[in-house]
Amino acid sequence: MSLVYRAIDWNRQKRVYDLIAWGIAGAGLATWVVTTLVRHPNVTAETLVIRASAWSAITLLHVILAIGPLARLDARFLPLLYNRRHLGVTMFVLALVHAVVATFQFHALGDESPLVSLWTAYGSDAALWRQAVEDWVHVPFEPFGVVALIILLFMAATSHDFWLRHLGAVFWKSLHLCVYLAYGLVLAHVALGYLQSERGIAPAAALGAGFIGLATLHGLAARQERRVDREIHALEQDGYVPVCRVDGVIEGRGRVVVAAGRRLAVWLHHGRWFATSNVCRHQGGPLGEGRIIDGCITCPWHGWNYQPEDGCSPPPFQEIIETHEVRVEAAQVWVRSLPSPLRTRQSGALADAAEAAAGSKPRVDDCGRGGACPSPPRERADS
Amino acid sequence: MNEEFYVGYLDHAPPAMARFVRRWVAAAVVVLLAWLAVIAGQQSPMGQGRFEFGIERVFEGLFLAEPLPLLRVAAPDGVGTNYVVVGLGKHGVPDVLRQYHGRRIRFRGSLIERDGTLMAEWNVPDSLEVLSPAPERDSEMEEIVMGDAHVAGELVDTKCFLGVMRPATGKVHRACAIRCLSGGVPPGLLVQREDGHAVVVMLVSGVGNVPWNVSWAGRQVKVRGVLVRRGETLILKAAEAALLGAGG
Ligand code: HEM
Ligand code: FES
Repeated sequence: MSLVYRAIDWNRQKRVYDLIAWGIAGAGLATWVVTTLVRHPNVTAETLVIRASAWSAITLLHVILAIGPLARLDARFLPLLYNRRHLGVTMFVLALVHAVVATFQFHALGDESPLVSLWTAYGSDAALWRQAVEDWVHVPFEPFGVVALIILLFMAATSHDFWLRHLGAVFWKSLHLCVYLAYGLVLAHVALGYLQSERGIAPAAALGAGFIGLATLHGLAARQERRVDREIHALEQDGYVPVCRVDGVIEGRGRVVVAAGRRLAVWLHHGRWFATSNVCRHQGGPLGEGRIIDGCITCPWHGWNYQPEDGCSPPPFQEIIETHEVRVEAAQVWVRSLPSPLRTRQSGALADAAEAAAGSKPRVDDCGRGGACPSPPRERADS
Repeated sequence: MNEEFYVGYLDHAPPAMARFVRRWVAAAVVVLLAWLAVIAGQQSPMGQGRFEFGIERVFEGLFLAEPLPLLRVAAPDGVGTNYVVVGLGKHGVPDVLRQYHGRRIRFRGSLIERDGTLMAEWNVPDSLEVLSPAPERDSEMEEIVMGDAHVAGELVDTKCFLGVMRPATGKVHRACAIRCLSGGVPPGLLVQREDGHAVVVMLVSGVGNVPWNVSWAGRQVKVRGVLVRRGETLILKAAEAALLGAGG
């Protein structure tokens, strides 16, 4: 089998995604600028830039945070999840413009370096700090923005797959979960600054509605997942747990199940049942929501591949996920709650219950050799 | 069960999924642009000041460094007008100018103006000409004592307030006001007149005794002092000042 290892590429999907994202960000900026110029023709250019970029960034941040739970609630949102990192970088650029112009406008050309002044401007009076302790409205707002920007900078700088590979998926994922921390810091930044200076209720109402909307979406997604978990009873029999009925999965598809508190993916492939870890080695994508394409489990997020039989990525890739033994009894799929040793080659349980018991013993195979994926090599998604 | 499956590296999303996404994206764009327009439309007024940024004018008149850097410019009809003089950026008038207290000077700079209060930013340093060899007096500029006063209002930097920044007050602008006051821009007290109009009273301190802290900028401050007038410029000579709501 000859291998073509294609370089990371910008495909049509990504280009369309980026063009639309930038178009929408541009429309957001334009909306702010035009509305402001109509209502406040005497606004200065600096205020216009500071506020247009800030509000476009925080709006985009809401969109970014909504996409995750939306895709968990309805898989048809997945095209938005893929490449979400590009939205993140766009948001960072907007926030950076805001921060740089605001730092210049409010701190530069004075008797102190702007980067020092950012931290020290309020610091010279103890009475002020006593007041801040007594009443939160006096707490300075800018440091919250600075810390948020630093977090967003780290996230944007490490958004490329290069860093994912070098930092490890767990660390990378934790770093990127900090987006919630950044969101909280930005809310504090706006609540302690802008909202105190403005008389209208629209900004506070919008941010309040945004917060409630995001919390609701996350809650709904979590509830849906809990419901799935509850469906699956954890009645263990000699190491096996029943995870779903045989009619719960169709040929070529997977399903996310819970076995002894862990999330697994069960698969029906060429009439045989397999079970693997549900966590993609790339960014922890939910493999069970994926599908088997050309004999390989294909992650729904960025398309990484694994063979259902041994959990190995087809060569030349090296990633391996755990597999579990499966048996089928009385139209019920049972999965062994403990994983088999890595690279174990599972024969899979036959869908027909009578034959299931005859499933031969699994054997350990040399990973990747004789791989079952005749598919053209995947192009590693790099967004 | 949903038959369509999406993998991002494929060139095309399945048609039904693409339709679904397109519809949601279009709806979201409409909602979010409306949200931005409403928030932008509700911004509070930004102030009526103006700053002739990049436009140079010649300012010529009698200069007073104390108690407040003022340039008395004589109009053709003989009635003078006061310009508060400040330096570039977040700086008050440079010390080199202070030594010409009482002299007639001429320099190039830019105009800042709000509600008839005028300010000159001396931003072409080598344009300074000293026109009179010795200090002069101008009877219109003699100090007239108006009386003791207690005034409460927001401590602002007058340069931003008079037009360099819009908006130039409140918490969002505090850091800038602190930098400006720290750099020597004359402070002012922004007071609400009975007709709802906001006016700024120039604030000065006794020599060596500054009763306020620059970090109070952008906050409500109460000041006790003597109100004086030089020409049309009202100046509050502060003896005592305190942050409002700070337990005294
Ligand atoms: C170095 C970091 C930052 C600094 C120095 C900074 C400074 C400021 C300042 C001075 C304002 C008030 C401006 C005005 O209303 O005239 C402001 C407002 C705001 N900031 Fe930041 N900011 C920083 C980071 C961020 C980040 C990362 C975000 C995230 C999106 C953000 C979002 C906002 C928003 C939404 C507002 C309210 C709208 C506005 O007033 O512009 N800021 N910020
Ligand atoms: S998470 Fe990226 S391919 Fe699975």
